[in-house]
Amino acid sequence: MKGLVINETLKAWHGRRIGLAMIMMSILILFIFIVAIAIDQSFGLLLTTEEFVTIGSVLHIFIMLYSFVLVTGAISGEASTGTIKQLLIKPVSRHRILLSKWLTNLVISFLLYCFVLALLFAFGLFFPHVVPLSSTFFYLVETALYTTPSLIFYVALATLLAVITKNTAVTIVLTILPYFFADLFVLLAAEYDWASWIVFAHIDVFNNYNPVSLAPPPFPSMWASIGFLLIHIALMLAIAHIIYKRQDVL
Amino acid sequence: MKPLVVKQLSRTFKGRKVINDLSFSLDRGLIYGFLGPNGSGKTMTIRLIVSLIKMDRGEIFIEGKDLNKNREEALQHIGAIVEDPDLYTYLSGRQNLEHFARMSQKPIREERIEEVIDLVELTSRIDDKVKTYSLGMKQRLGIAVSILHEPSVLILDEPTNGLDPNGMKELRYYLRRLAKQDGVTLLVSSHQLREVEVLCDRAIVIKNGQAVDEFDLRSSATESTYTVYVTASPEAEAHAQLAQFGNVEKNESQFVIYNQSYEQIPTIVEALVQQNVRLYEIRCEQGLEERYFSLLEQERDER
Repeated sequence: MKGLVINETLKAWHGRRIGLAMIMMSILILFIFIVAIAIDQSFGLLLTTEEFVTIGSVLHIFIMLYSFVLVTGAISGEASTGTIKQLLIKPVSRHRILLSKWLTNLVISFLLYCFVLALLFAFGLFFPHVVPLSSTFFYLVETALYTTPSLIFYVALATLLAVITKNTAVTIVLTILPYFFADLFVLLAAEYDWASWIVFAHIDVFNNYNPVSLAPPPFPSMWASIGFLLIHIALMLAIAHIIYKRQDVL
Repeated sequence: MKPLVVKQLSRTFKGRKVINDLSFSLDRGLIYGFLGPNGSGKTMTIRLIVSLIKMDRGEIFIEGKDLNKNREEALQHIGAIVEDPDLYTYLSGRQNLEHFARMSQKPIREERIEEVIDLVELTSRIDDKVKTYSLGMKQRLGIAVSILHEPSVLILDEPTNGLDPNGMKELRYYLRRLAKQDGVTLLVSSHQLREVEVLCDRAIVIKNGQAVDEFDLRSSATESTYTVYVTASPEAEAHAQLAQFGNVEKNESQFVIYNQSYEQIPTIVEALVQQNVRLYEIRCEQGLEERYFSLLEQERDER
């Protein structure tokens, strides 16, 4: 398994250009920093470290989108380039191959998110802080942890779709659609009792269970909500593995 | 033990029986040509052997290991290039080799990687990105990837596709070396009969997903059959005389008779001369092409 994980990391780094993605993220953070400084000086807003970090954390959208690219590139990308053939005729079970693909890219996406948060924190130090820096740091750790269920959910969804469609573009589009529009659907369905059983209602764990949040949470307990998400994640991955094992490579 | 045994293999695809009760086996250290017209099921058979697609029925044994029951154990003895040498073009040749080495069941040492690089003569370019390689170099790297784990069976699907004559010659040389020096059994699917004739020891012909024949390409002249080309006049009389030796085909100004033995050739000449047929040219060819087409012809007639 270790060898397979190294292989997937190598292919993600060279093929999906993680280095370039990191540079792009850094440029984006630098851009936000420059804009924040400009606004600060022009309007005298006196932005704080925690405010800068909160504004910058919207970058998780890019991480999420990039995670779709990573997973679909590893699964359907190999199907379209034909390298999957050489991979599947090696004496390794298809389960392990698929597991190495989504797991490695999930970890890479998470680490990339941590990299972005760390960079935000570093740039945030240029602003004055009103709460202790350790509190801001823990806020970032908390943000990363709250985002994890959502990241895992979408990686599982992208894995399933990539296995079924074997097409990178179709997979990315089909994964992006719920990412951007599921909230709208959940909002429209909110007046019905069954709305809390829509899996997408549980994805934003942070806002759902934030004490200052105005909307009521889908389930009374956060852990019940996470459990519900995990059941769906397990189901999607199980289906993906079954299909991948039985799929003909023509 | 035979390195590869295929027993009563069947596979239906889109409602059509593409592979139909196919059986054959390979002997160690020989190079087999795998022949058949387009759509005969060659690539499908190869994909079944390397488990890229599932069989409906049948058994495949690789070094005695049942592919259905011990997939991973069976696959460790096989190396293959299916259609194209699909490699990671954004990685270097060496990174590709290291990638596949990490997938081997038995550990592959650095020396083994150097050995295969040397064997396919890619030493000077091995650290370059694969996207900068020529087709011939990719083919050679594909072979290096396939033999890295020292398989006893190597399957190549159309390996000379897109290669120039020099590339073909080089490939032939590597494959012969593998068979003769390392005892690797090769199954080479190709459209190019001449290529198979030059490279292979034996040939398996399939049509409509069934093995039509298997024959030795290194047999002596007396065991083989010939195709006889005759130019003579008057044509009606010549045709009548030739017809007694078998099915006669008219090819432009020539008559063609398949499957004639070496001993039969003077008898044909004698029969024509005795009937005062003016004989302008008689030519006989022995070769895979003749045998292959006559086999397919026979099969068509029988149906």
